[in-house]
Amino acid sequence: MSRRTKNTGSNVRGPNSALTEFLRVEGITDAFRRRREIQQDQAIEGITSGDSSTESSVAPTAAQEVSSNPLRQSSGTASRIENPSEEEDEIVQMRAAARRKRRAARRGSDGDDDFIGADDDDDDDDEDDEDYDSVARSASLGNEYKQSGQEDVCVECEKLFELTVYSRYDKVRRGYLCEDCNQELKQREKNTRRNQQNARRKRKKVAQALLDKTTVSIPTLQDICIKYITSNIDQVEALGGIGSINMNKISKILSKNRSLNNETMTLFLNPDSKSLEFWDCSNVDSDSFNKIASYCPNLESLTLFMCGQLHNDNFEYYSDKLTKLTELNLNGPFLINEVTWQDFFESCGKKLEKLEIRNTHRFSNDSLIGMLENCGKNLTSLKLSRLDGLTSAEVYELIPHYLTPNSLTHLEISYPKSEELVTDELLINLLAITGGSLVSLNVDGCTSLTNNFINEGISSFCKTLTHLSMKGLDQINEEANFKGFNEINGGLISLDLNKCIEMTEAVIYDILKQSCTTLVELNLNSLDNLSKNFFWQVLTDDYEELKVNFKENNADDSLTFYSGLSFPLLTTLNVGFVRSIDDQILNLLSKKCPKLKILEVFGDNRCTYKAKTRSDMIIIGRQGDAI
Amino acid sequence: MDTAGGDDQYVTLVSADNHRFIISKEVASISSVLKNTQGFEESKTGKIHLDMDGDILECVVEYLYYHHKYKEQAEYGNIPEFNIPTHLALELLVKADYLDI
Repeated sequence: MSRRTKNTGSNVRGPNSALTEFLRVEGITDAFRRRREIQQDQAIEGITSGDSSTESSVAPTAAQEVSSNPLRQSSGTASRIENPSEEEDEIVQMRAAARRKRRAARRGSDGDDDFIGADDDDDDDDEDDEDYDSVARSASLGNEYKQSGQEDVCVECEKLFELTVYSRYDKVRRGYLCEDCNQELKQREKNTRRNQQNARRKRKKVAQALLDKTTVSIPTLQDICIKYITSNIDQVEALGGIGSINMNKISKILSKNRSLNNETMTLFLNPDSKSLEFWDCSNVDSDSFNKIASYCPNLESLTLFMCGQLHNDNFEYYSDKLTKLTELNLNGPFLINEVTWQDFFESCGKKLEKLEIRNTHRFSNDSLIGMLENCGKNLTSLKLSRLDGLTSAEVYELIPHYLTPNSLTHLEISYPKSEELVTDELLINLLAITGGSLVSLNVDGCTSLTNNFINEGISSFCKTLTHLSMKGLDQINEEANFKGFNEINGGLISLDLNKCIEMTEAVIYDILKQSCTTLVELNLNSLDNLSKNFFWQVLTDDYEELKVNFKENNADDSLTFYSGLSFPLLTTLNVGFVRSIDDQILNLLSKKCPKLKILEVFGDNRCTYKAKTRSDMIIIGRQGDAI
Repeated sequence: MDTAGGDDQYVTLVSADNHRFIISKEVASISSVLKNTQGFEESKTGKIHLDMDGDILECVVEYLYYHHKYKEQAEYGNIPEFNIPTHLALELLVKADYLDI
């Protein structure tokens, strides 16, 4: 009720019931009803001057009216019988009002559409109404009403023509168009529609390319060929002589299209190949996995991702056949059980140098011990991620004891089953052993790591680290001290601090200062503590006038002063959800980072298309970039 | 169009089975390999001998002109697709890899 009274005055309309819609179209509003009720009350008062006075004093409501309005009752009422002529007048008035409203509504909806006519697709729904008041309309438009078959002058070319039911009415010029002009107009409309569609398609293409972190450019002949080959992969009998880069490219594309299966996989099996990479093996069955070992006995490196169908038997077969294997990367081998892992490490663990295992709950505490005992001392790369079978902190603590000091170059221990499994002590022990040789370290999601891991681990032992990833380490705060690390190599090449939300400007500045000349990839996603002032200072040279002024005006140190840094090699930067980033910072980034190609700004709603950035820089995630 | 060598604007690509394609130097230099042959013997004779069959080289030349024609329009989208005969795709890939296009 209250909603309805409110709506009558405004143009805002929500979903309506059929009854409401009918009442609206008929012009029956609350005001109308009230007026009629008063009239009716007066009429009743005239006859029975008594009880009705109380009813009229009550504020009328729509619900009451609908149910209690005597006019609505089909049997007819006293008032109707008493006042027939008045009632008829009212009906006439209602009809006129309804017609006015209908016309107004049509004018509103057709505002952008100049033409109406029998052959126009756009306003089919109006046509019922059209019939009723076309006479009135043409009269009101000052144009005499014509019927099909009559002659008329075209408003476009001013020639006489015979009116047909298909002739189009030009609303603006108030006249009909001849068939020729109509055809021309139709063609024009078709063209505009096509242009609109093309523009839409282009916007979509650009947006798609943006999300793929590329720009729309002309495809290379190699890409075209690869597209043809992958789409006709069923007919290919053998791939050969196309170079291992193209081979890998095709394999990756097939994986991406999810069309790597038993048949297509065999195309890549070559007795000479020493390295194989299949990134999506979900459609490869157990028999075909065996083919890898039987066709390519010289394999030294094998990468199987999404290998959910890799069976115990396959794995045993591999340990027999692949005698030269030194590198094994598996993602999702959840059919391999504890016993098979154990056997595998015992039979060919001695040769393994690089091992990566991800996403399996069957790799247990005992499996890890077996792995460490057999291949621990040869390992140069160890990556363990999302292994929910590892549930003992004691077993994790064994890792450093089996590794040869200063031989490991890549270490990843990420997303353990629970955070207390990977502690500061474990990492400090590990880094004490391997820190001298470690090049890349990944501890994503080990959320129990604290400042101690930085201060006593990384800063003390890591002298050659170039890649560091520590996503989600939310306990690292202003007390972390990065000053000691990397005395030999100079700086980091890639750094991922995604969601290390407690890190402060001073800590970030220490890292950046050390690594700014070498950094290629930097991820500061969600570090919302970083202010605009921080970015401005880091990206502005000290001698610039504004910066000098800032230093003078800020003599009382209310804001920390940071010297400007330069990032000559920075290529990709993610500052998503660092909400202080705005157009001005984008401009500075574009100027101060000459190699910056990919910049992600998701969730930074102060970044707009108005930023003046280099054209070769791809900015992803601006709100204004909507398709 | 002048024939082999005489004109500075053009260069002749010769296939293994002796089909000749005379194309402009500007177009040929889309391929870094063809571009780099200039300054050696090939620049004097104006001929570049390539180890590929005529039908493959024809596709290559078509692509070079396609690339030349549409490279400006590429970022505005809506360039026609370049079609190659499916049965040549593999061999063409090898040669495209060689020519770096």
